[in-house]
Amino acid sequence: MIFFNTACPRNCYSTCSFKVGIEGGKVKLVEPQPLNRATPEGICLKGLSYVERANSKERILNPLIRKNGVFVPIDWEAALTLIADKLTSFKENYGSHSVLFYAASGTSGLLNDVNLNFWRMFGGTTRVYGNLCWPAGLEATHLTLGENKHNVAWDIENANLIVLWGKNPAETNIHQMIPIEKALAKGARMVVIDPRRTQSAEHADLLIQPKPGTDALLALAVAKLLIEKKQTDQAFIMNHVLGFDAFKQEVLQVNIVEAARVTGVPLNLIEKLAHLMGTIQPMTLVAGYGMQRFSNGGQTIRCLLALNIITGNIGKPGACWHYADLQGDVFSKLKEPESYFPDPKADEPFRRVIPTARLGETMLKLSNPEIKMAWVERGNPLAQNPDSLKIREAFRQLEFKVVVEQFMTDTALEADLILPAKNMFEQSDIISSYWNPYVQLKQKVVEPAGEVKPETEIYYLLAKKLAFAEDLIQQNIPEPDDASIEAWLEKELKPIEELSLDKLKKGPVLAPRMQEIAFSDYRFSTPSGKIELYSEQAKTRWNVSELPGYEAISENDKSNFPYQLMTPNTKNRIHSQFGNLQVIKVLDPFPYATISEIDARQKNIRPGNKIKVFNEVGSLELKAKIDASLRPGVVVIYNGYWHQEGACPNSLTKGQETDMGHGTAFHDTRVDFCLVSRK
Amino acid sequence: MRYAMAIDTKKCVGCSDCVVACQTENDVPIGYCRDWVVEVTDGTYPQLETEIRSERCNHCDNSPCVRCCPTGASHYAEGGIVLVTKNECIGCGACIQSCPYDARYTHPDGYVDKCTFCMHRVKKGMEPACVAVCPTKCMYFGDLDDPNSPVSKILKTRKFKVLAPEAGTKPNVYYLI
Repeated sequence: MIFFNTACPRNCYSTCSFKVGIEGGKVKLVEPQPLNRATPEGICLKGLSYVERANSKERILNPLIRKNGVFVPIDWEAALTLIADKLTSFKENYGSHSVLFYAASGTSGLLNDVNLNFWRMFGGTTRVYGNLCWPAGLEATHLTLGENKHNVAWDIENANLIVLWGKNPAETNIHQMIPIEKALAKGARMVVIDPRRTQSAEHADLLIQPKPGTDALLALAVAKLLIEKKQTDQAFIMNHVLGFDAFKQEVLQVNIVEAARVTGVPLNLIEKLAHLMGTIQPMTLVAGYGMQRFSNGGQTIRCLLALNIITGNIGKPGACWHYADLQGDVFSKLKEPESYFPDPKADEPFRRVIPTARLGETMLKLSNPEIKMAWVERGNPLAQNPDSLKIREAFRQLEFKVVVEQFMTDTALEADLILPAKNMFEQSDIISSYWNPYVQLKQKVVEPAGEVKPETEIYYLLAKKLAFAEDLIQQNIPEPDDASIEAWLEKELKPIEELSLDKLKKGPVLAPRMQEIAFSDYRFSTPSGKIELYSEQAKTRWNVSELPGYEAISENDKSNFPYQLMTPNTKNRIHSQFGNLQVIKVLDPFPYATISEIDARQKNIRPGNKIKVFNEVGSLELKAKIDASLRPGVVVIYNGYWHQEGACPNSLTKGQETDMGHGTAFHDTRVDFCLVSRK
Repeated sequence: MRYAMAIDTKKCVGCSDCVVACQTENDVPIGYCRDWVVEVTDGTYPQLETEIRSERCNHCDNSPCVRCCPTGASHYAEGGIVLVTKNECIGCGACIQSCPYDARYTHPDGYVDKCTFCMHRVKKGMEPACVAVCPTKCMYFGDLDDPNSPVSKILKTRKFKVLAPEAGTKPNVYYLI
């Protein structure tokens, strides 16, 4: 067996380096790569399942066309001719914006940029803006600190107080648990704040289970106690913070008793949290992405971040606001989160953009031109976007849908033409991470299986078919052979002298000029050059208050549906990927909804009963798992189940944007549930 | 020589890497597993405690499965590892019934299968696949007769328990608590 260095290109914090063992042209073994200081212990169960995923019999290995409702093989020449004819005809008859180009986070890499080059040459398409995951928090951090970066992943070891607020690394970022364990072994304290009693919570000294959507108020209550007890870092505030006095005035208005009632967190726990934050330095506050998937998500993140700011926990070892570290993203022309904003330049080929948070509803309403065709790659919008059944309805009205996929996902099932997608072992590419600060090469280690062609090659052949000018093709799309791909990547690396393909082949490389301790120079690229607790941009850009604040989710009060739906991520999948694999099915054999023991008792529901979860958007029938430790009033369905399994939670979520950053307010979803049958 | 394993319930986060690594290493057929993760919650909301642990065959010193096997297929091998000789197993299932840990299953090919402590790896001086892959390093393996083995050393410094002690099986998988 020969081993190669590679790295996992999934939408995941860890972005592990690993070694892959190849024998007889097949992926046989996955082993740890200790050179990455953030992930030396090796990859998670999904990474281990690459052995099955790469060799799965269920993989789509050749182009398929729908004929009389069933998919049948079609050769590449015919498939590409068909696509070229459709593209030409839609463009001529309705304009290029009648084509929707949709790509998501299925696999990362620099070569993904080639797709936009192609579509730009085509004359543009309708595109989506926004993001399903994290942009409200990115924008909140960006407004406040000027940049999304944090201390290196292993610095948590230096913290004396760790607050995991809405993050469960035990499931979603297992490599973070190792430096956490080291800190705890040295005597650090840990608080977990989560409506669920997560696996991470078992390692904490204190678990606080607030009502979902009220985190901002909890943070403000803690801020008030810190200010009243004079447990703030006055020197830090004076030197580095804009707007503390205004923030203080606002925070002093908070009624702590009322905050305890609204958040559902007993007063003594709020005081305990404030006491820990006020007396233990340094603190690392790790904020997850769940709280910002509410319509008040951006403001919530600003409130949490304020706790780091007033206690001076920025820019020192162990003192850190830990949300996203984009220092490894050395190639981005656009710094996040602006890349999720609609393009302000209306004369661009992509001048028509629609929100990914409201994809279905917007597609149905679009006119002049109507969408006639969709091209989907690296994504599964029919399972992963909110109100996904409405997207399916919109898709079914299109005349022609092309889906580039490895497996028969919900989106692929709706296609007219499926093109087989490469997997991570079949083409080299360069990736970075939003958690560890490395630039990594994901190497080509096997030839594409069956008739699979990497997307760059599909675009290359399509460009030829559409008779784009040769010099344009040459500039914009690499030739399909391996040497041309490597040359293309080498060209991308060229501006950064510390990086080269040869170096990356030997293992992960720390991003040049990254700060091990973020903001240790106390330079903040905000308009004022200071940390902005008071942000005019918050007002001008998003029409929210200049100050962090709590706004109740209006839905929570007026809805007839009494339970809050949470759709967190599970260790068993990356969003809708991996769940179809047999090794994962052993661990997660059927979809379930988790309800609290107290709620279950009230409705006479027992473990394993079939229940119906429903609201005004839709309904789902699935098994009930009863969890004594879950906060009552909450229903949890992991995101990533497919409609084919009968349990996609996005049958219930509404298409709605967050207060800032064009994120998706999945968690503004209220539901009810009832017993269907005992089995 | 007495092979044993210790699993730190305070460190295990239930990531299930051990389950997937075992399936790949041992070609466990789809739908079955030789090891699995258990989460047990005790108490009343919100005062609770959850124990997370990776379970498998306990390679007991006093194994009911070996005692009840009518053909001798279930036997003690070197270092006390309990094994099943495939071609001697008639698939009667008596051992499956007798095991208090539910550690055995009938392989689709008709014989009974279970954890071997990855004896094929141990013989080569390697750790069992589950231990080697564990990202939180919460599993320890080795020879209890060797005071310097990882398992002997950790059992000297930590409190531990075994599962179903009332069954009197004298298991060799220890849970650090």
